[in-house]
Amino acid sequence: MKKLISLIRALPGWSSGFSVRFAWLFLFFIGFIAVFGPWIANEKPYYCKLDGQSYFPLFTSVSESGLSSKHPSHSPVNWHTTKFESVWRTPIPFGYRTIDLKAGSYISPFADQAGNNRFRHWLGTDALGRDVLAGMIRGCRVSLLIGLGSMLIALLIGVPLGSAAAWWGNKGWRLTILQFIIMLFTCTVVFLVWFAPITILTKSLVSVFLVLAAIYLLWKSRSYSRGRIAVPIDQLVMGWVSIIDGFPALFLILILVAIVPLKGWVVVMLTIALLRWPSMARYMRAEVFKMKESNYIKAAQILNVPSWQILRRHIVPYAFRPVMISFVFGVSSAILAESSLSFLGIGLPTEEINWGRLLAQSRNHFDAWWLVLFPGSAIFFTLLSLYTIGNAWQKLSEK
Amino acid sequence: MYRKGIITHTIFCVLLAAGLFSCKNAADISSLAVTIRLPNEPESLHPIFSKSAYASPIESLILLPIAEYDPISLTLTPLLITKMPVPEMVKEGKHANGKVFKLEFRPEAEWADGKPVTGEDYLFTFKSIYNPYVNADSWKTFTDFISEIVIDPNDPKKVAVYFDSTYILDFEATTNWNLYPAHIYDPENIMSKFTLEELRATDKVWTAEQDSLLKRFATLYESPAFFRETVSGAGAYELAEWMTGEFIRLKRKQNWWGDKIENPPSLLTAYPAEITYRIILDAAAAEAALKAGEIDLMAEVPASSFKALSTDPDWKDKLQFVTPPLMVVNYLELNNRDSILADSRIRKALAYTLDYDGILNNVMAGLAKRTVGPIHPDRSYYDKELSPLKQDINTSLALIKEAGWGDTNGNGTPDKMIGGKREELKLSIKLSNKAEGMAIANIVKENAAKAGFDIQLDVIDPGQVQQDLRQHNYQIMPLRISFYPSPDDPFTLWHSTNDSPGGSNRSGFHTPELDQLIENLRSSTDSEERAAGYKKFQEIIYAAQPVIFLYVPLERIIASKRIQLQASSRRPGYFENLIKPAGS
Amino acid sequence: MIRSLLRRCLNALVLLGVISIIAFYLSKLVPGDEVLDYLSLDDSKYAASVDPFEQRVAYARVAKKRSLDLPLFYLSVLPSNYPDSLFLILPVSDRQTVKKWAQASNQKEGTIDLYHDLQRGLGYACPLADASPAANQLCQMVSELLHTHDLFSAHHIILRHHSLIAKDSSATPETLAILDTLNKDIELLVRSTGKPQMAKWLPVFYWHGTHNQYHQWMGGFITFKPLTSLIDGRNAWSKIFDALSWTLLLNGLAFILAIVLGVLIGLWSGTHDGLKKERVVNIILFTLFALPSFWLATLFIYFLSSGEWFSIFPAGGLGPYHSASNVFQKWAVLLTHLTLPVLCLALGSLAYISRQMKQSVVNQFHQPYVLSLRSLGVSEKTILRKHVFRNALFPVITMIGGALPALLSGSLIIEVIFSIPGMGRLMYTSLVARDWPVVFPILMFGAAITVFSYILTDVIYKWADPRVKSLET
Repeated sequence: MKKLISLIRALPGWSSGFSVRFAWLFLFFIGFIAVFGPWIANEKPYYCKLDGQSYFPLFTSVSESGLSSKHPSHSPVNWHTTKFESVWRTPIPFGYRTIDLKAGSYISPFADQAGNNRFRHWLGTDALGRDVLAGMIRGCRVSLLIGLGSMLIALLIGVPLGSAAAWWGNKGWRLTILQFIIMLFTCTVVFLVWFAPITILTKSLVSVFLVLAAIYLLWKSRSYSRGRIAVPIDQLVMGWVSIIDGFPALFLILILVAIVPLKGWVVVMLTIALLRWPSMARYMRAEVFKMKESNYIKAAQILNVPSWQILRRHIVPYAFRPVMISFVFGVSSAILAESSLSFLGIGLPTEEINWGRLLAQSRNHFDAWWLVLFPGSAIFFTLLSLYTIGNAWQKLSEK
Repeated sequence: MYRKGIITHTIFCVLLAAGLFSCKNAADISSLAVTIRLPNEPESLHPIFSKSAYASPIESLILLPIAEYDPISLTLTPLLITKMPVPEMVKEGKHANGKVFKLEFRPEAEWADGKPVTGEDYLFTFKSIYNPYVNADSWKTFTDFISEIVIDPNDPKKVAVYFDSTYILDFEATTNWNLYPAHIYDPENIMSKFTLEELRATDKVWTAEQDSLLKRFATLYESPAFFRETVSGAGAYELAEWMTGEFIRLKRKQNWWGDKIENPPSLLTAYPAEITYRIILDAAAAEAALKAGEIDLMAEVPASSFKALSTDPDWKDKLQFVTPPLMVVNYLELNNRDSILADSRIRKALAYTLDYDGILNNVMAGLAKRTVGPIHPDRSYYDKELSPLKQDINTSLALIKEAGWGDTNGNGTPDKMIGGKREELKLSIKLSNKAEGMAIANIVKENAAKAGFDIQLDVIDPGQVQQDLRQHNYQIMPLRISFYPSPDDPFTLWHSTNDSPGGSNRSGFHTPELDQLIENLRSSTDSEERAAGYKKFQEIIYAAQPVIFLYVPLERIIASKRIQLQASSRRPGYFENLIKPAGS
Repeated sequence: MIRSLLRRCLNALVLLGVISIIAFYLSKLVPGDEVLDYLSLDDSKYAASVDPFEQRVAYARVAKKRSLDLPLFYLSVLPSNYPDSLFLILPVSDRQTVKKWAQASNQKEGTIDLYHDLQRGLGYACPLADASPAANQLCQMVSELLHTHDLFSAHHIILRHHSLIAKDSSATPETLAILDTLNKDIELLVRSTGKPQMAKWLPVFYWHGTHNQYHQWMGGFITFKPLTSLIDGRNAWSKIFDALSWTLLLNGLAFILAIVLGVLIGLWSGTHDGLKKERVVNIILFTLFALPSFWLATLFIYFLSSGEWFSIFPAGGLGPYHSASNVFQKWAVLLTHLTLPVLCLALGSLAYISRQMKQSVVNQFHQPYVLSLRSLGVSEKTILRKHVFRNALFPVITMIGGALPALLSGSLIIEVIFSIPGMGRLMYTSLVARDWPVVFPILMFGAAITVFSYILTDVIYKWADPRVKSLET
């Protein structure tokens, strides 16, 4: 328990004030809903008993049709209307996809809804008759997943590349002639492999194997003698950064969603990561540059501490903080970007529902204020929390 | 002097007044200016080349068709010709045993610059289609059946059109298309140097000079000048202004020949003095413009907003709401070649899971009608004895079981061994991003899950939809068929010869019995025989459920109360030339 | 300095070239055969016609018209057992089939011979298909073959049809001759399958010179050749220009509003830092910053124009702008229609700019020169106006340079919500409709402006503050 409290106190900005604490609590709340969403709002009950047999539909793959064939006297089985002997339902008895055709679409939360309070649509229904509350719960999951996921990937790509670019610069990493030959050889062999008459799977495996073998050989053949050929890492990384900067984001997103055969939201996540890693890399690079000039790093270099150790122990942990601040802001901009895209209808598959999608449905039906207020405030408060935390963190680190 | 001045002055005024009164035309040209919303901007107003469905009504106002389906009676009425031709058998000569249609253009009919409408223009329009460099293939499918066109040497307004073989759409091929003025669309008089026969000869080799002339004509013909600037015809309206992305404005001709006709057919009347088509892509913005009075009429209103506005106490009295039934039917195309859907029991099982009334209420806000088959419910030969399907999950479950499916691996979805492999009852719906299709697909997915179907939605590019449809690369697709006022010809959609890659029998359903029935319907002219044939046709389709018919939508038109309009089930549902000021 | 500027400009041009290549390549990867899309636009008989020969003729014609029958890029790399005229094979589905045959059989020339013979068969048989059942069969057989990737199945098909056609009375000698040639070709290919020779899988480079699609694109773009939009046939440049003028107007107004108000509010906040009033303003600005612009837009529309509450502003579009007769009317229409979009765009940036400004002003107040000025007796007002303001404005101005690309690319969401025909919406609708002649110029302009704006910002920075040394990039 004490450990938990000290962990909470360690959260950045916790001590800054009530607003920040509130922001953290809100984020935890959203995170909790995101993780446990399907068990909070679902059509299937936790437990039901029919003709003396117990089922746990939510945790197993029991379907309505399955029950109908097992208990023909109750056929057709419907989670809402069938008279079970005993049933425990989820707090919100609607899934995000459940279409309630009886209640109809665009039902206001305050309207006279058929059915008792247990089956009430507390936040109304959307254009297709789906429950808005269930949709909002689902939206938590999608937004957080894409927001956090894309930034994590951007972090994973950007931080190593940025620090490598700054640390070795253009002349730092030198290859001996042997290493250079090994690299060229691997490149040509991988290039040739791609024209071979084998499946794509084999090609990728062989290429990965070759690359790993090359890395191993490079490691083995490193020598303390000064290599001749410099690999201009800084130029390469900053070149890629400039290309991605100049590339129009909308074009990239729309095209990749059309081309890549993965699910829509995965593509959106990867594209946002692709578009955001340059800023992470730039931050990291600036920080590492600053630290490179500091005295104790220079001392470590004179003492011949290997570069890896310096990076791992001294630079990266300290350069991390400003990067983490930009990470927090990055998550908020990723969530905003993702909501904007789903507002326009891009990226998400049809069955998914998201805050942006719910908001977009209000455009056709202006008096559906519940479709304007609730999803919009959800996005707003999430962004607000993230900005508050980021802000507070920034102020703390400036001191 | 002074008195003389007064007298001459008065006489002059009286004469002027008399002159004004006598100049008044037979038809009362109102000063009504109507603004109509256009959901999409047509890329051109050149009937041979325009693809947009929104171009046709505008084109027909400017370039009048020779004959057109009357909006109310739904029969072909003569517009540019004096009367509908009566086909005569040809007894001798090169078209022996064929038919001839004799057309006579109205003596009053003239183009915008006063030149008379003659058979030369008819011949020119034809020749322009057959110029090898002109892309008019969609028109050629109809006109290919016409064998020869002969202009009467004594009277340029008389034309004889010959058919060597029987063609069910011969009236349409002869008269139901827009007539082009030869002297405006071919200012250099190129096409008159060629005969129709040599243009249609498939193996003709052109000299270099002829070839360059043909190319020149095609380039001029298919140029932006004729797409958007020079659009002129025999209709009551002329193109006054086209501001791209904003509006298209038509102005009524002052001394139009159609006003001189006694008892004109409804399509030869034109009341509004000015028609402006405002291009508003977004339905919500269009609705706002309607409420603000910036536009007078809006069609294709989304069903939910239509319902909302018509029940809104603030607006239901300020606007008029019209719902003519459209000649289209929405249905779910099922690929009968697919291993799962080939079994009619599975198709019927799927049909029984759907909550049709729910779909109607949800997607169309109740503004639609059920139909049992591919015949529009308003047709006289619609089979009223067949009752539309209702949701019955138990029947679905029974049918699935009967077809040999059962959940053997306990994953909640029935499965079956087909061709040695275990197949799950998984189907995919391919669709494009349109709201109506998505709503239907979502509901179908949810409904079908109750009987155990596992349905995936696959949203693809609209272009991809067309390709996949052509290549039969789908299982379920929500589609729409349009009907024409001419009698239904089930040949295109249900005959076995059309079941080929890219062919028009998309579902792949055909039986020898149905083939025979369709062939009989095509050639029979006895109305009782045809009625019986249509009844049998509907029964066969109903029993096999090759595709699932959903509903026939009603068109939703909202108009301001200052105009009076005549609604019709032909697209677009309103006819601009028949819009009058309210109360007249 | 000039030299480094030139070098950077050169780098920028190379960068633009790389971006254009990547964008071009991506656009070609979009699934779906482009030519088929154009066919369904240009030639609706394609869908109805069942004649494979006619289909191919129409396909080739459309491909030529749209320059899609050229190779993709200056050079291409193909495995050595692919025939080198592969890119000349249209339609694309035929090309896939020939590729599969070449892969299976390793015979470059043999595959091409087979393909040519199949073409000849099509050209001969299909026009006669209506008259002679044998010709019809041959025509259908060839068409089926062109969709069969597997050589063995293809062989079976030929054998099966051969016997059927030979028995048909309407078969002409030419038909049989074609069948024999096809049979021979296929047998040659079938015989050499199953013997993969690794040496033959080495790639070969082909140089195409300037006769390729990319060159046509870029050449046309750089020389401002008239490009026609595929959707409506208008000149793509005029479309872009129209949209650009609206975007500039909208974003320009929003920009000016945001800068002016932002700087003023920031200045006021900086000087009144710590006061209660300022805390409230800070919180309001912070909230505005976090507000998503599309939610703000929807709220505005809901409250101010939908009629539920008020109906002051129109819900979007440009209204009767074009039919307004004089300048005053035009401006009146613009005022009512553009207020909401401009507000939506400006509020977010306003919050950001004012916070930056406030930061900057507070920093300036901590500088020693302010203390010395104060001790010299200079009035607070003069300090503010002459020194603090100018110095504090400096970092904000450099930020403006970074905002330049956003100015011209338009704000897609606001334009879609308010139906304003700006650049963002044009790009989106063109992209969805795959209207490449419009998409590419917009793309290249956006990229060029982004790339050059960085250089511009750097130059301004260097020029304005000679103390700054830029990092070597």
